[in-house]
Amino acid sequence: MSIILVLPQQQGFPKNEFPARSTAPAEQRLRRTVLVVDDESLIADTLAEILNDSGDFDAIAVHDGERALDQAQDRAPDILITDVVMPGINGIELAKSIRSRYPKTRIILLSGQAQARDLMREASHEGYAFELWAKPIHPDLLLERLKRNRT
Amino acid sequence: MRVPLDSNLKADLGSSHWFVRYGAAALFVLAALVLNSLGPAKSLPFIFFFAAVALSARICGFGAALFATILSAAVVDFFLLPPQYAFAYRGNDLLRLLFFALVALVISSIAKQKSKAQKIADERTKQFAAVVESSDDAIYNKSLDGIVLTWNRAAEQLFGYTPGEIIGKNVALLAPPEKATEVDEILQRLRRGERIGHFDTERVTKDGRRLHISLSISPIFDEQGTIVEAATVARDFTEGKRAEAALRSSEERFRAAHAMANVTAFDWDVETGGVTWFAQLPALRELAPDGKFESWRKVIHPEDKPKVDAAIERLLREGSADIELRLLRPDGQVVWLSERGELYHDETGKSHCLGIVMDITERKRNEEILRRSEKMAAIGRLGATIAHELNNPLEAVTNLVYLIRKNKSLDEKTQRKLDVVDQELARMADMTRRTLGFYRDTASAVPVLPAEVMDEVLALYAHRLQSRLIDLKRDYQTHNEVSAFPGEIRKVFSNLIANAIDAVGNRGRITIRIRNSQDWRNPGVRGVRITVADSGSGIHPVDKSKIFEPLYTTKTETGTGLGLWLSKDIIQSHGGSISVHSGGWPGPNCRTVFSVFIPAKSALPLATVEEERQTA
Repeated sequence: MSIILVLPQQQGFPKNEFPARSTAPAEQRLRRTVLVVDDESLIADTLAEILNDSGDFDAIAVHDGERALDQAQDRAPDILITDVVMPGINGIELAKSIRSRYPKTRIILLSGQAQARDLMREASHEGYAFELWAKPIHPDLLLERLKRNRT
Repeated sequence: MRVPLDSNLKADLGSSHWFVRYGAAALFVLAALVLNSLGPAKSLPFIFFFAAVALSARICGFGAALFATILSAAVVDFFLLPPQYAFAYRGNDLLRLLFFALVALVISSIAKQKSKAQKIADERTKQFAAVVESSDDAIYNKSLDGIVLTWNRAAEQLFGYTPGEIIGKNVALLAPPEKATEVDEILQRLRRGERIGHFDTERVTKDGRRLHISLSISPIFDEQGTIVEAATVARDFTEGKRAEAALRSSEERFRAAHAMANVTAFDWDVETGGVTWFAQLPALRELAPDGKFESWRKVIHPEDKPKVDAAIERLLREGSADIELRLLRPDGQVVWLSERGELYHDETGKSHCLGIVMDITERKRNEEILRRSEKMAAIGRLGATIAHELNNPLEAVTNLVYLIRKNKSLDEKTQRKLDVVDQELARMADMTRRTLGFYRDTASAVPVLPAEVMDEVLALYAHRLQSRLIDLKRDYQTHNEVSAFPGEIRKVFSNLIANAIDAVGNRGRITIRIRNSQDWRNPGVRGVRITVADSGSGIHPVDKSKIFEPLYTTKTETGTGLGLWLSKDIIQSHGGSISVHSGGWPGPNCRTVFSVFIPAKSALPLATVEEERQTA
């Protein structure tokens, strides 16, 4: 098992700080389902809105781990984006539980706290590997990374 | 045990039983009678009786002589004087007998005198023997061919041999094998009549222990003045020698310990100002080579002089004082000393101060570093806490601005303003990320591509580089990896780029080179060298020596003075090095080049598989 630490990386040196926004409509493209979890509802909601607006994703925002598990009860999300440090079920616990049920779901932990890294390390000792993205992340970069499939 | 003068004893029955003495006297008288009866003695009446009395007196003592006198008189009267074989006498004979008795008495009294002297001599001899016997020094006599004749108790204790075991044996028995010839030499010298005083040598005891002893050997002469034997006094100073050696080595150890602890002791004569140093401290030897109080006082840091004066006053008043003070070296460096003094009066009543001095410069320096790093850690924690708190609202605002910008109904002016808001938010995000950087990356080292990390960093600064129209040139000629903490290397690069941007101003030029290289100070160590050159205003020589020091900044308003210090720390912890070269100062286009070397294989532990780095 390996932890996937995601560090900002550019393919070559960009002309702009962030890649150009995709303006192409994605009518015929398959919209991937995203479950966004953050106890700061503003973040979860705006992220879901951004993802939905992009046309590539079908995003649902929830504000705690329990509700996230409810949401994922019947159907596996293609992608889980979750905050790490949350009251109740924290991001790592949520990620573990989703991973055990839906191994194919891409799991991204989003955190601006150093504590997240420690939690990640613990999880890695148990054999889990999740992506950890630093918060704040610019929506352009977020979309770019999500569209770029894991290599 | 025997005493030395025993051997001088002549035939003397003075101390024998009275029966023997009187018997002997009677024998002498009888012998005189027999001799007197022989033909040739007839013409010399009584002469043999005088001899008998004299012999008795000499050999058997006064009483016996008296007895011999009376016996002789009786025998002469009975056997020799007519009428023979009867005690009858004639008037003339009585006179002759009386005359004989008188002479015999005189002879006897002489014998008595002599015997008294003999007794006193005997007494002396006994006393002397007792002294010898009870002496703490081993005393023994030996003949001139080395045979032991006498042996006192101390000798027995020292060497372990009882008199019975050693008397009659050769003294060479006591000498260790390598000193066997020494005994012969001593005997030869003795035969020449030499006295040997305090001859330091080694001897071996019965149980094989080696002794350091001092020998004093005197020849003993007989009445004729010929040397007959030698008296030896042996004094053991094994203990003394051992104590002396122990003292010497303990002093050496003391000195060594002092040198190690950078401590020394001194004795300061308060009145004359003379100072006796136990050992000079290197720092003090350099500053005040003569060790005098006055020259020492001259190098005290001016700010500390009042403190020193107060301490001396306290010392004189209260008898003791301690102080921490600084000495100022000519090069401006400071030497920290800790001193403690105690006052005492010497035998002449003069005041002295006995003190110890410890060089605590190193300790002070470490304390300072610790203080700074504690300050750093506190700043780091504070910064990180604030940064963490800011990250969430930043994320939310960034998302909101993004959504607003998507709104096509906004006019162009508002759009442009929102673009600026977006950029400023990105800057804030960058700042919180950099502040987080105070926290050390605790992950293990992983293979890192410096070029890749550099590009990631440049991406963060892309906006700033563009807005300032900075001409950025990248010249990467290697794709070799180094083992490193990517987060920390990113911090270093980020720092160098940020500094370069600050230095060049608008329309400047920044050149980044990445090459395979080796450690300049340690040429066998291969790795990657990253240089960041800018066309800025250069670095003032004074600043140049200090830029890697913590909390040193020329950007008083915005700088923390931590960037380069942290960078140096990070690079050094990777086993690499960081240096700066500035082409000159001041000047419009003075290049400043920061050069960072990271070894390909650092001393850092490599990551295990689970923490392998992957891209998303």
